[in-house]
Amino acid sequence: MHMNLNEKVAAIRINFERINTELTKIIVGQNLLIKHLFTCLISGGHALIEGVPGLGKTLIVRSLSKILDLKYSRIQFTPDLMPADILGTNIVKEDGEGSRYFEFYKGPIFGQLILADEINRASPKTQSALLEAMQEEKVTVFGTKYHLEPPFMVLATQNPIEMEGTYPLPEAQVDRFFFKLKISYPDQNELLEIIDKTTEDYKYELKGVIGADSILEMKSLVRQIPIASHVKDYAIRLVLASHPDNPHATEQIKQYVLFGASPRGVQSLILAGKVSAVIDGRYNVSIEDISGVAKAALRHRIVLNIRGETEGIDVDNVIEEIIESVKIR
Amino acid sequence: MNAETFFLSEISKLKRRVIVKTVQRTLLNAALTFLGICPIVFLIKKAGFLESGAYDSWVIFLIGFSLFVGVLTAYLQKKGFLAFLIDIDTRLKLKDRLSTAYEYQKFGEKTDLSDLLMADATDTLHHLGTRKLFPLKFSFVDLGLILLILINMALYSSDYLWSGNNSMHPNQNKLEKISTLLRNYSESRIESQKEKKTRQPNVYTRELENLSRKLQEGSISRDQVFTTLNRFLKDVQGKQTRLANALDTQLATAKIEEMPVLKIPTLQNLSASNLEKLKMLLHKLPNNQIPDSVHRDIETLQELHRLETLLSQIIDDINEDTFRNEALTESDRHQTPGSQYLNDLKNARDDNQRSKIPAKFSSPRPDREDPNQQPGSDQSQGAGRDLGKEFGSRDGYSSLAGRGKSSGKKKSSTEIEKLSGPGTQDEMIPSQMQNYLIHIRSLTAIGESRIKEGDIMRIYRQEIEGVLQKEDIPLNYREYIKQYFISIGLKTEENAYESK
Repeated sequence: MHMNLNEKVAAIRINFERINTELTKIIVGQNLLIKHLFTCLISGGHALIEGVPGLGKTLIVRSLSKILDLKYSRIQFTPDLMPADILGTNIVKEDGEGSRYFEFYKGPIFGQLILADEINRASPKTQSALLEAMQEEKVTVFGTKYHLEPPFMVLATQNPIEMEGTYPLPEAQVDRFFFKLKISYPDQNELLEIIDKTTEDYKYELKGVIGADSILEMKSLVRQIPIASHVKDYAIRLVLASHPDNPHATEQIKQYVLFGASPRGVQSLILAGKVSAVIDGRYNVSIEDISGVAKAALRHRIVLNIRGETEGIDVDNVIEEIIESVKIR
Repeated sequence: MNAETFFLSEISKLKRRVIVKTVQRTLLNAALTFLGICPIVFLIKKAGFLESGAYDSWVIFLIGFSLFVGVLTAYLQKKGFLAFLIDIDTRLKLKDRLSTAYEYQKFGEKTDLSDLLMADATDTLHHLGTRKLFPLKFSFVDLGLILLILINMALYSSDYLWSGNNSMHPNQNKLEKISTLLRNYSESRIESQKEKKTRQPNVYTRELENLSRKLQEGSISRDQVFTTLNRFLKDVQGKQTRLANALDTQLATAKIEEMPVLKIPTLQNLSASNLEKLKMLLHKLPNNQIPDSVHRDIETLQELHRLETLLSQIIDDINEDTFRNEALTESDRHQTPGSQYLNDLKNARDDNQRSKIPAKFSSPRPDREDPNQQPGSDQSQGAGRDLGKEFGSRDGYSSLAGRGKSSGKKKSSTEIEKLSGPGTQDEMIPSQMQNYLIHIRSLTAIGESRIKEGDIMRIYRQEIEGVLQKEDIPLNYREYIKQYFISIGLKTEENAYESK
């Protein structure tokens, strides 16, 4: 069906509402998380979901895979997981004549929606197997490049409190995630609803809402959303303000931050802002869109120093202070 | 019309409103400045440091200064239209719709969605009222303006009420001043009239009266008369010179502008009529620049001039008498010209007391005076008119050298030589005395004329001045025109001399 531009933009918002409706059948609360997941999807980014066990991280991703009508792969990261287990490997095969040859056996990375569950439990070597796939949407195995099928999205989960037997993700790996999302603990009403849905005979059926083509089309359209120069300037100043050596950095940044956000942080802010604007029914990115996605886009890119770590400084508070300090010109 | 056109239309409306708001802010700032400074100037005026005329000038200056401050403030507070739109977006929570659309339209950044954006911005602008775009906020500036208006109203209304209660006092003071000035002026006029009345007769007049009496009594010889008259003449000339110099100094000290007569280098050479003209000219000067002493000196100088003329004439007549034949000597014993003149002088003194124009002083033959001769009828003769009376000129003939009938034309020296008529020698003037012969030489027969060339030139110069005074020539141009004619006349005179 041919749609005009206005209808295409409207379709993005409609699709989001439909995804949200489907997910809320099984996910209680977490509206912001769902919005950010949709943003990641439309922006072509990957998300790192962090939360204590039992909050539904895996459930959300699994449910999303059903709604999106994408090839879904789940990789359970364990300390003994090898890169080949993710990427795939060449297997020696023998034909009918007795000749042997190598055949590439695709790993779980060759999907469209990848759930990297408890990603911090694997060794850095294995974690790094995702680097090329996440950045370039291709993998190289034994010198052979294999392109991944778009849209490609990695949704990784990790447990922040369980440190034993885990390997914190290296900075380069973390920076490749578009968003780092936190699942907040449900409040009383939400818990009540969770109980009702899980302990009773609650039946639900998730319907596929959009396919890969729609996602790719939306991804293309979102990049055309106009953004004013002063909004870009605001995003840049936000990122620069996260650096402790910046003259406009706040006292907290100077004291507790070791490294500020990378340029990927600005890219994330702008792209996420565009999706946020479309979801909001606008054709332009606003300051509010940028500041609204700032925590998700920057929290994993700001590295606290030892003082900040030991004093338990929350990066989200640091980002809030940055948003407060950067005035609209 | 596409979305961009609609958007531009809405933006144009918005810009017009912004301009109106800017003008309002400019005027508000100007009013604040004006009302803020006005009380200070008012207090300065009340303290007596400013006169009412200067206060008006200050108010005009303040208005200009306030407008300048208003414009300057508006200029310094000036923001770009884009910044204005960002402010509206922020204030009305429009999420940068207007600013982004304006930026994309202004800089021509085209995307597939820019038209949708402009349409959205147009719709947003269309639904925004003026109240929302330019909200009326009561700020400290407005409060300050109200306070300043109240302060100014209080100050000026109190001043008006106060001046209304005391409005009669300044008029009374003015009336008193005017009456004092009038009284002083009247008193000074009365004093000057008294002074004129009580003025003592001239010492020379008394001397001449004595001499006349002695001559009638026959107690004095001709030589003694001659010597006495010569001494008188020298005294008169000396006093005349001193007085002229003093008058010259006074006029120079008075720094009188636009006074063409004063440019004549030798004031003592002025004739009586010239002095009269000078006096008239001084009267015409504005603002009463001439002190009374100058007027008195001019009058004295006129009297001395008349006296000098009289004495010179008497001495000339006595000299001529010495060359006459013996027959005349007998008749001279009965009545000499000097005694006749002295008699006339006595009469003239009486006339002088009556009127300040001693006509008889300048007329040695009052009985021969032409009754048809109207005083001042021939303006072109100038001072020569007086001398004409002395010698009893006939109608149309000058009694001065060159008594030919005046045709009113100016002739060159060569033309004069060729002229026919009473050129070389005039006919004898009939006298009461049979042997009284006056031999007068004209200008055409150079050599025996007893009138100085300077006097003749002076007459002509006076005539020029007379014309200048008579014609309606602006005062500022008289000196220029006079100098022009004088320069021409002097050159002509010099050329005539050289040609001869």
